[in-house]
Amino acid sequence: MNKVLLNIIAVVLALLFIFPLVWMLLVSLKPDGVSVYSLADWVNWSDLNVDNYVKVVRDSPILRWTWNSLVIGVLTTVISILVSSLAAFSFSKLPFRTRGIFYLVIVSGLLIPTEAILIPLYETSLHLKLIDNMWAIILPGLTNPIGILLLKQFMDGVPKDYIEAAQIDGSRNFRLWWSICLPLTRSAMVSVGIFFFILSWNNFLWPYLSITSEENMILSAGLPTFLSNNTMSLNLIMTASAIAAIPTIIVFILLQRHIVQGVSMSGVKG
Amino acid sequence: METKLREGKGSAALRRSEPLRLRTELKAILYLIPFLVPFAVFYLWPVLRGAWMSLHVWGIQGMEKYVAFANYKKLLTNSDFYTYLWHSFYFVLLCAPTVIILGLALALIINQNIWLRTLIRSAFFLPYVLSVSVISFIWLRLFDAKNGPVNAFLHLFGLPADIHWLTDHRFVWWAITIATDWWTVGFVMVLFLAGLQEIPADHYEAAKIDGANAWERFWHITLPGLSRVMKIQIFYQIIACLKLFGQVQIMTGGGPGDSTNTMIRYIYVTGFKKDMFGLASAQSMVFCVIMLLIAVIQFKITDRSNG
Amino acid sequence: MKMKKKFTGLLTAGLTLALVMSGCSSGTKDGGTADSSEEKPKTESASGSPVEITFWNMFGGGEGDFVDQIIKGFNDSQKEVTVKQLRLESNEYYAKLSTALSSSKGPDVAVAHVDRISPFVKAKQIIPVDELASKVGFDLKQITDSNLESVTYDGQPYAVPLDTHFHMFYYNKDILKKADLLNEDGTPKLGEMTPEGFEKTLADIHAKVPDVQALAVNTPYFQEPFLNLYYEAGGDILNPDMTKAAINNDKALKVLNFYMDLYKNGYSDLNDKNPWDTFLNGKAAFWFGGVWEAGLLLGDQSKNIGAMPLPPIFGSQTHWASSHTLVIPSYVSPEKQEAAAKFMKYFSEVGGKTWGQAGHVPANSKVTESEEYKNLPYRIEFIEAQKTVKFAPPTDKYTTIITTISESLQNIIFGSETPEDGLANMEKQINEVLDN
Repeated sequence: MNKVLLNIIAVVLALLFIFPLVWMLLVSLKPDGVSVYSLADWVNWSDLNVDNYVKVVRDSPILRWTWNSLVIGVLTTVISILVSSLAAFSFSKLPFRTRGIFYLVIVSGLLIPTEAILIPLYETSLHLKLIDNMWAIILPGLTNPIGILLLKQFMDGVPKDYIEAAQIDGSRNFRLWWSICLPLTRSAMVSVGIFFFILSWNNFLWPYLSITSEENMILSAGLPTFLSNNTMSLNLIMTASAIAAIPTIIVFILLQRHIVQGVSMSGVKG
Repeated sequence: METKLREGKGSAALRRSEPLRLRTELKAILYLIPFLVPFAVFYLWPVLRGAWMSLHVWGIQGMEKYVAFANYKKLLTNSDFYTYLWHSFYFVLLCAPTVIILGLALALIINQNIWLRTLIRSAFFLPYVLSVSVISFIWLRLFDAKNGPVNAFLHLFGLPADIHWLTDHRFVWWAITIATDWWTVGFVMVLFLAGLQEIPADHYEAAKIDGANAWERFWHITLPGLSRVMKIQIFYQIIACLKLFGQVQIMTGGGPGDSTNTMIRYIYVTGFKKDMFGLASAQSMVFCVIMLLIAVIQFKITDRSNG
Repeated sequence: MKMKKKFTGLLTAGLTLALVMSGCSSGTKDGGTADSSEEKPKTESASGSPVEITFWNMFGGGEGDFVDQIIKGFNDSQKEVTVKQLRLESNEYYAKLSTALSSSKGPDVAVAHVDRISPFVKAKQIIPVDELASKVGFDLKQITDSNLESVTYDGQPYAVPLDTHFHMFYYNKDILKKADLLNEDGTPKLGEMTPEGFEKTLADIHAKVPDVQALAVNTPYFQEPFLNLYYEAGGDILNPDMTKAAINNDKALKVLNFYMDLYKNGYSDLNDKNPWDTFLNGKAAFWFGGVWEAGLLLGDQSKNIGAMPLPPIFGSQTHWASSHTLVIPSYVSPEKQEAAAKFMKYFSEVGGKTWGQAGHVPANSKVTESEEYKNLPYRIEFIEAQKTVKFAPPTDKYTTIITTISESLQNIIFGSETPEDGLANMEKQINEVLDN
C-alpha cells in the first residue's frame, strides 16, 4: 500500500480516537450549561475557565476517591504479586504429589467471574464486617489466578542449574524463592503487576456495591454518584470524568512502554 | 541432581519415605496458603453459598424460606431470562468481531513503520486505561441526540433528522458497541502487534520472492502466524462481552424499555433493586454454567485443532 | 546482585508505604464515625464533651446544601450533641441502609422515605419514637395528621416525618403567552378538566409554539407521572389488605393510553432523557415537576415560571406523594438515641424552615402555618396540593413492587409491550412477589 496514504489514514484514525477525550476536556472547561455541539462551539475559546474543576474538587470527594483507588491499587498489586509468586514457586519448583489437584482448583478460579458471585460475596463480606472497607475490594481481588499461571510459566524457564546449585548449598525453600526466583522473574512480575493494577483501577461493579459511604469510594465507582446527585449539570460530569482520566493519562504517557509490554505479555502467554 | 535422584528412584523411593513425603507436601502447600486463604473465603465459599441461596427466597435482611428449585423454575419459564440472555449474546455478535477486526487492522497499520509510530499507537491504546465509568459518561454525552457531537458530525454529512442513539432500540446496541470498541480495541491491537512481531521476517521475504502479492502474503503468512493470538482473543472477547454491565448501567439504564438489559444487569437488578437474592443467585448459577460451557467448547475446539 | 537488592528494597518500601497510607485513609473498619482520631466519641454521660451521632442521608446537589445548613445550625445551637453526616449515593441508598440495619453497624439516625420503612418495622430494626420524643420535649402533635399516620404501625409512630414531597404543575408563562393561553393574573388557561380537554390545550400549544414540548414528561422515571394521573383516576397499586395487585384495570389503561397519545402526537418527547432540563431551559410549556425543584424553577424571576396543583383531568385532585422521615435503628445505645431525638426535634421545628425553602412541604404544621413559610413563592399552592396526597401502600415488599412497576412501564412506553399486556404482566409479577 502506498506509504503516504497509509500514514495519512493512520493519523486520521488516531485523531478520531483522541477526539472524544479532547471533547471531554473542552466541555469540562466550559461554563455550566454550555454544550460543545456545532463547529462554532469548538473554536470558541473565550469562555474557557477552570471554575468547574474548582467546583468539583471543592464539592465532592473526588480527590479522596483518587487516593482510595491508588491505595487499593497499590496494595492489591503488591500483595497479588507476592502471593502469586509464592504459589507459582511452589508449583514450579517444589515437588509434591498433590500438585495437580491444587492446580486444577486454582485454575477453576478463571472460570467463574466475580459478577456471578456478587450476592453471596456481598453476604460474606457483610458477615466479615468488611462492607465499606477497602479490604472488601482488595481481598476478592487476590483470587485471580492469572498471576500464578503467568509467573509459573516464567519460573519454569529459570535454568535448573541455578536451582540445583542453591539446593546443594543446602538452601531452604524460602531462600530459593527470595534470592533466586524473585529476581529472575522480575520483568514478569512487573508485567503482571501492571496488569493487576489496571484491573484494580478500573474495577467497577464490586466496589460500586460494597462501598457505602461516599468518602470510601474508589474513583470508578464514585463517578456515577455524579449522575444521581447532579442530573442538572452535565458539564460537571465531564469535569469529574476529566479529573478521573487525567492522572491515568499522564501515568500512561510516562510509563507507556512498560504498560504495553505488560499487557501484551500477559495476554499472549495467558 | 538431588531432584533427579528422587524422580529416578520413582515409586519405590516414595513408598519407602512416607513420612518424608508428607512433610514435602506440606512444605509445598505452605507456599500456596497465602493464595488459598482469600481464594477459599472470597471465591470458593461464595460459589457454594450462592448455590445454596439459589434454593431459597432470600431478602437483604436474611433467609426467608426454602423453596428447592422453585427459583430455577421461575427463572427458566420467564421470557425475560431468555431475552436478556439473547441480548448478552447479541452483544457478543456485534462487539467481538468488530473489535477483533479493528484491532487487527490497527496492528497491521502500526506494524508498517509509519511516522509517529509510538504516538499513534498510544492514541489507540489510551482509552483502555480509562475506567468504564469515564468512558460511559463520555459516550453518554457524545451520543446525546440533541446536543451531542456525533449527531452534529452526521448532520454535516447530510443526515436529515437526529438519531436517538440511546433511546431508539434500532441504534442503541450500535452505540454501546462503538463505545466499547473504542475502549478496548487498544488491548486487542497490542496483542496482535506482539503476535505480528513474532512472525519471522524471512517468511515474508520468501513469499515475495515466490511472487505472492500483499493480500496473499496476509492470508497465507500473517493470519496463520496469528492463529494462536486470534484464538485467545476470540475466547477472551466472548467472555468479556457476556459480562457487559457498566456501559449499559450508565448509558442506558437497560433501556429503552429493557432492550439493553443483559444477564449481569438482570442479576444486579433482581438482587439489589428488587431485593430477591435467592432468585438472583439462581440466575448467577445459570450464568456460571453457561460460561463454563463456553469455556469447555472453546477448549475442545482449540484442542482439536492443535492436536 | 545489586539489582536484586535495589528491587527488594523498592518492593519493601512500596509495601510499607502503601500500608502506612492505608492507615491514613478513612477506609477504617467502622463505617460509621469517620476520621477525627483525636476526639474519641464518648458514650459516657456528656460531662463536657458532646455526644457524637452519625446521620445518613441521600441528599445531594441543592438539597444537600440545605441539609448542611440544618446540621450546622443544630451543631452550633447547642453543646450536647454533634451530628456528623454521611452522604450516600442515592441509587444504592436503601440496599446500603438495609445492610447497615441488618448487620447492626451503621448510622445512629438516618433518613428513610416513608414507603421504605415497613420492612424495617417488621424486622424490628427501627424503634418507635413516641417515648423518645416526650423525653426531649418534642410534641409530635405538631406533625400533620396524615404524615404522622403514615409512619404509625400498631398505634406507635416509628419515624419522625420531615416533609411531604410531591409534584406540582409548573408552567412557562412566556410560552403560554405566545400561545395565547395566559390569563391576566399569570395563570394558565386550561380548558376542560378532562383528558381530552387537556390534550386539546396541548395540541393548541403544539400548533402555535411548535419548537417546544407542550408537556415535558418524566420518561426516565415514568412511574411518577403515571402514578400521579392514576391516583387522580382513583386507582390503587394494591388491594386494601395488600395481598393482591390492583393495577390491572381500565383506569390504568386509560392513563397509559393518554400518555402514549401524547408521545405519538409529539406533544411530549419520548426520547428526552433529561426532561427536567428541557423545562428548566424554557423548552417546554408544562411540567409535572417535583416540589424540590421549587428553588431552581421559581427562585429565578426571569424564567417566568409559575406553579399550581396538578390539574384534576382524571377526576380528582389525588396525586402521588412520598415523605422523608428520620428513623433510629434499634442497635443504637440509649444515650445516642436521646441525642438523635434531640436532632430530630431540631430538624422538625427549626430545620423545617430551611427545609421548606428547598421546596419540600415541611411536616411540621407550625412551620407551614408561619408567615415566613407562606411568603415563599407559590407555597400557598403547595399547601393546597398537600391536602390531597396519597402515599404508597405500606407493604414491606414495596422496593420490589415499585422496581417491577417501573420496569414494566418502561417497556410499555417504549413499545416493547402493549399497555394491556404490560399491565397484565405487572399484575402477575406483583402477585408472585406478594405470594412469597
